[in-house]
Amino acid sequence: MNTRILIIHQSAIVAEGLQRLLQNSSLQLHDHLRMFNDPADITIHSGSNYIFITTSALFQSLYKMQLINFSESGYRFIQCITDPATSRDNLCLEAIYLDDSQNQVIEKVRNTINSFHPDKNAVISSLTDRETEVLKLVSLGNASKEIADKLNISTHTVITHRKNITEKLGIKSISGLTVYAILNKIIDTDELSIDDLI
Amino acid sequence: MYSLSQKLADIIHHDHQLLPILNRFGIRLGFGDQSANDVCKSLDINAEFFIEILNTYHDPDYFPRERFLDFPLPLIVEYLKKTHLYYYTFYIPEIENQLNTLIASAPGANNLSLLTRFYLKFKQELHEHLEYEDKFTFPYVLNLHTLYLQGSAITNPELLPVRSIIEFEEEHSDVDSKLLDFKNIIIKYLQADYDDNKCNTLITTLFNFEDDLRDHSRIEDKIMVPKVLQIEKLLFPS
Repeated sequence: MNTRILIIHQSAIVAEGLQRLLQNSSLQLHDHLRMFNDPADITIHSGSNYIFITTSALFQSLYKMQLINFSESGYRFIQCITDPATSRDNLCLEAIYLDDSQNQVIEKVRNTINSFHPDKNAVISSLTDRETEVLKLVSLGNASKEIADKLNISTHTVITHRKNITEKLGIKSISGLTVYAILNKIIDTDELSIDDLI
Repeated sequence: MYSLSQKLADIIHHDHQLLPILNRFGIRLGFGDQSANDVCKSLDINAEFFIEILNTYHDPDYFPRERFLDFPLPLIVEYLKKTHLYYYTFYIPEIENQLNTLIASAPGANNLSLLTRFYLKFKQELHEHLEYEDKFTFPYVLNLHTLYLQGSAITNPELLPVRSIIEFEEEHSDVDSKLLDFKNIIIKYLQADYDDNKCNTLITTLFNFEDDLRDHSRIEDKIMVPKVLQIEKLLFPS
């Protein structure tokens, strides 16, 4: 899952400075680094991790509720503190100060990115056998409830498997998953008509 | 960021991806050294609206929500309709052509036909979505706007097709995620002996289409819908 970093700061100097600094780092951000003046302009894409680097003022604003919602969705906050008298808000994992060095800033952002993957050794590329089974049944047009009955597991577990499959493969729609299953010979199209499946 | 006093030709030299936007406003090439403002004036185009649309399209981080909320609904709806038309007449057939060219470049590869199936499914859903907005959502928005101008409260709301714009606008994410799936299948999972350049052309078109759709959804979800909700609040006694 990719991580998007959004800088929300009213000061152009701070926002542009942070952006430049992170772009020049070894962090692989590419087009996942954006600046905003107004939190209302942000579009959240499902399937991404988010880190918000924000001005302290935001935590005292009308947007506080939205920030709490974001936080509950698992998104992370880094507070950018320009006034030394301000303290770090509880929502924030880290705080960046004006006199931090480039390395300190990058380290704090890296820590935050890593907090999304507590188990760094886990390889998350190939599907487990169970996930492959679930994928097969999804591709054949079964609803979660039917899959649960067939595999003798709870619907809740099926939904978790489906979420993991989508995350690993980067494919969300059922017809997309079916194409993947056919390409990888998880389902046998000799016995089935492709027209019925996709 | 572009301004109205700039020469339109300079703007296009700087970002040629804006060409289709010009066409949506009815601007065609050959405008010489005229400024953006002069071109708009000669064609009776709302220049302020034009330049804001150009800027948001040019820079995905720029979105002056407050500014957009000031523009009248019919102007916004007109632009959205033109965008739909562009999808019907350009992107949808173009992607299909490029896909067919790609498939023709690898005659033996059966798995490429899967892409066609998937694309046709996506196309069907996109069509349904666009048609629904053209047939129901936009007329509803325009009707509501007229009623608002007349200052008449709705006396019999049961005659309106729905009670709120919210009932119309639900389906964006499905279309978006199918397009993303389509790209991912080609980029990550498809192995066939096709012509690389033809595949690159198709992928580039898909990325451009995705950007265009994102910009389009942003105007619908963050400008049109909130404006309509405001009017609904005024017109429908709750």
